[in-house]
Amino acid sequence: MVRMKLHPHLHIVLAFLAIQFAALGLGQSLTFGLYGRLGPDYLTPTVEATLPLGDLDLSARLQRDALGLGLGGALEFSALGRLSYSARVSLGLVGWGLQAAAGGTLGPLAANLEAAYSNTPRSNLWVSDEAEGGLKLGLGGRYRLDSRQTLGLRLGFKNDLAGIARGAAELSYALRQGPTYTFGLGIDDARIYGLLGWRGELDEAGTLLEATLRTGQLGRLEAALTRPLDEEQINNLKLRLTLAYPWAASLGVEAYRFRADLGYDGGFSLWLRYTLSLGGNE
Amino acid sequence: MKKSLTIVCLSLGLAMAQSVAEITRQVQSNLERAPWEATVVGRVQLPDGSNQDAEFRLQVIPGKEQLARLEFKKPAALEGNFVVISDKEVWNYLFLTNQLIIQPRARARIEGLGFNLTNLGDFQELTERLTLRLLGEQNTPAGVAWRILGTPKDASLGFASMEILVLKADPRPLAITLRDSNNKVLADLSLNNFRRTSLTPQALRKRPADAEVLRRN
Repeated sequence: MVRMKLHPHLHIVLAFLAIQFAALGLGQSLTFGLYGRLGPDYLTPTVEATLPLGDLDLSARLQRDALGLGLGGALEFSALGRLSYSARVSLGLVGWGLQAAAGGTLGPLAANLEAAYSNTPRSNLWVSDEAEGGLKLGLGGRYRLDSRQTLGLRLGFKNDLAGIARGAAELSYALRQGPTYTFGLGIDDARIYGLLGWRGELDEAGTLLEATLRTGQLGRLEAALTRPLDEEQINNLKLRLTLAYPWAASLGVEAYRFRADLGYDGGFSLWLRYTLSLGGNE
Repeated sequence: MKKSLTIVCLSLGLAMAQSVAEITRQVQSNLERAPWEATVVGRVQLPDGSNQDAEFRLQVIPGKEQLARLEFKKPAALEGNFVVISDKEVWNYLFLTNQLIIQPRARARIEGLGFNLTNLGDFQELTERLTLRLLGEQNTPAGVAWRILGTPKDASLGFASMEILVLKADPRPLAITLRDSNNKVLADLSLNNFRRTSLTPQALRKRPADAEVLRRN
């Protein structure tokens, strides 16, 4: 009953915020969406908005039963690199979550750090987030040995709501010879796998394919195809495919201001989105 | 006698000042004639104080919708990074993270190396921020060149003096040397392989299709 009472309020807040962002004309973007899932059935509208606030960017995201507010900023060093940082708090009827991230690129080195905690599965706070709660820590780094070779390292740690701790590590080596070839080795929750990747342009128009296969005691294929739709590269067609074992799959299509994501991870889901640009410097 | 000497000195000073303005005007109109590109090579001091070999390709489309692209070849750590500057926006592409950061020109930090190198593509804008003095002439492998010394009108440019060599036969910058207030060289760059060529805005704005685009205000 409490849930039923609060829904209209959230929708009012949502609509109010949307009007405010639109009226100000300052928001960089406003994205409306509709997300539906089968088994357990769930349907919600989604709204994502960004608003510049001085040197910072304020972001908001809303869905049924949950609201997230984030603040992010960056220091730009032109072609030498940048440092960015962000924090988000999410509040929902079933729980709350906090997330902080920082990333930086300076010359040959790039690193990022992420920490998140929630007392409910994060998918309850935002539809596309993982169906796990608790603590999550991630550290990623890339180091450019020379103009053609890059080393990568990823470390992850999770301690979920049941108190089960898991670790992950992945080491990779990327070689650019026209296309970029990536080789690596990883371990995720005591499952060892190898990594093979390929990224390169397929034609003169700049169509770009990136494919990564992780195989061994776990299996995961990720592929992304991006095709420019105009010479100015303002619009691109983006196709994303993920296949994983234990069975999970996702297919995403994005073009102009529309985006559709179809997913399967024990149940089917579909998320349709449309993005409006509201001034700023667009 | 003393008075006439003063007049001669003043006239000479005025003539020199006029000729610097005239050289600037000639360079500007020469660079604005048609799209051009050049390779910029030399040494620059990085923010950490170390000196690095630098090599960039500079491409410029002059005119009302002026566009410049600066693409790094050296240092190796920056190869593939580029900067695109238009009237309204500055694009910074970072190869390592495949990110394209777009900022309004008015707010963008484009110095990075202690000096905004794309100013070489807009000589007028560069010289407007400097007090210029003609030092004389010098022989270079490309031909006789004017030596011009520029001192910043305000401290925000990040250097204390700039020496520019301008080719007389085809008025354009040949070399540029930046020094700090201790006369230490911050950047010593020469413009090689200068050529006029057909460049399109699309070519200058080319980027990997899958780059993550980040708009900053």
